[in-house]
Amino acid sequence: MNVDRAGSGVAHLRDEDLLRLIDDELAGSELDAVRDHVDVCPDCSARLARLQLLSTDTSAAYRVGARYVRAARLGVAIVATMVGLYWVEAAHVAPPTPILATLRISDLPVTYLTPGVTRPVTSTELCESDNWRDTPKVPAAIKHVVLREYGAGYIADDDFELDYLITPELGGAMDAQNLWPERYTSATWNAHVKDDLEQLLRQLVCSGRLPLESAQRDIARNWIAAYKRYFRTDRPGGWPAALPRPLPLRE
Amino acid sequence: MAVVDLFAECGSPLRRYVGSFGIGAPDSEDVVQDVFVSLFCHLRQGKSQHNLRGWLFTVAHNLALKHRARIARRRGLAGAHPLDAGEPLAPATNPEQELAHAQRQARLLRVLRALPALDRRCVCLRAEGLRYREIAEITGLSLGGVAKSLARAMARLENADEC
Repeated sequence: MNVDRAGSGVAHLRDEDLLRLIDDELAGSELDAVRDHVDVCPDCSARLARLQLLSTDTSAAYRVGARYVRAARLGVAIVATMVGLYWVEAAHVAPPTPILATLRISDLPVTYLTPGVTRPVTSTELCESDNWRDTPKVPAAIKHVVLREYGAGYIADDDFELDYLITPELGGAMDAQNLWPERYTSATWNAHVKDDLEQLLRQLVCSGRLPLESAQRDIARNWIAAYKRYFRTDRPGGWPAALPRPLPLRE
Repeated sequence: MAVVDLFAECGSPLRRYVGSFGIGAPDSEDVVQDVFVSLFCHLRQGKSQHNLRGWLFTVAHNLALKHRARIARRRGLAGAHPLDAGEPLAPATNPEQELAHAQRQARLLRVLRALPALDRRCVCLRAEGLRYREIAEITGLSLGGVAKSLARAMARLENADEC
């Protein structure tokens, strides 16, 4: 299991063992040994963080795919052209922020891990569906991916729920890119507040006052900003008096 | 688990995985449909329902290889760009962050495409959330081989990331 990294004379864990720890592929005495070592070894702890970041970013790059990257580059090229920055090259761009520092369970998802994914469905189909309150249970395999990517594998299940960014009631897909771990205990912008937004958006879509695509885009970009905009308030709470409050989405 | 649930859970990941073989979106859809037709036959014949998710990826892997070989024979080229996936909603960041992020993603994708086929398959299947045991079954590697393959791939990705 051990390797002498960089000839330091100190035994460290191999990358494959650290990856197995990240991927929850260790068990029993092997798991204990690796954890014990990481706990007391700053080098291996740093290496673990580095591998977590790299593997997460690689998985995200794979899932997002070449088409998105090309589109983003084209979009950036257009912006650069507009402001006369023809010379923009990699050397002139600030290095990427270490993402691991921002990997946390938060009120908002990490955008590049959870951009939001929709399924092909029309607003008519959504609004006519009788089972729109039956939010499907997230399969263990997808939950495993999301928690691993958010570095939340060690956090107790009681502390968070795996929430849809674009809720299935608004056409959101069962996809790792549409899920993130959201705190139960967040004081202000928590899952219950988001439920209110989802209900309001569904009402607006089903009454024909808001296109489905707009609702999906707004909730995916920043659901807190969307809440403030649609509820016309900076603080959660307070259903608009003019609207009948529907039954809760989640039992 | 009902087939419809499996389709909801695995449809997009399978399309992405098949796309990573360089198969374009319409053809990927066809391959995934063939995968589910195979599943239907598999279940109708009363065969094992153990780990159907892993079974689906194994069939998708084999059908994608066959499809790619058929296309290559017919056209004399590999088809669409490997690792071409569906478009998610665009992230809401400022242009500079988006540029840096897109450049890094493009760099990682370039290295991913250039990895040896077996290492690339392991990285893609891991990204789809498959366990090492499932990856081993699909690729024919041992469990230790999967771990080594992933570590080797990460080392190459890291080298490129630091350039």
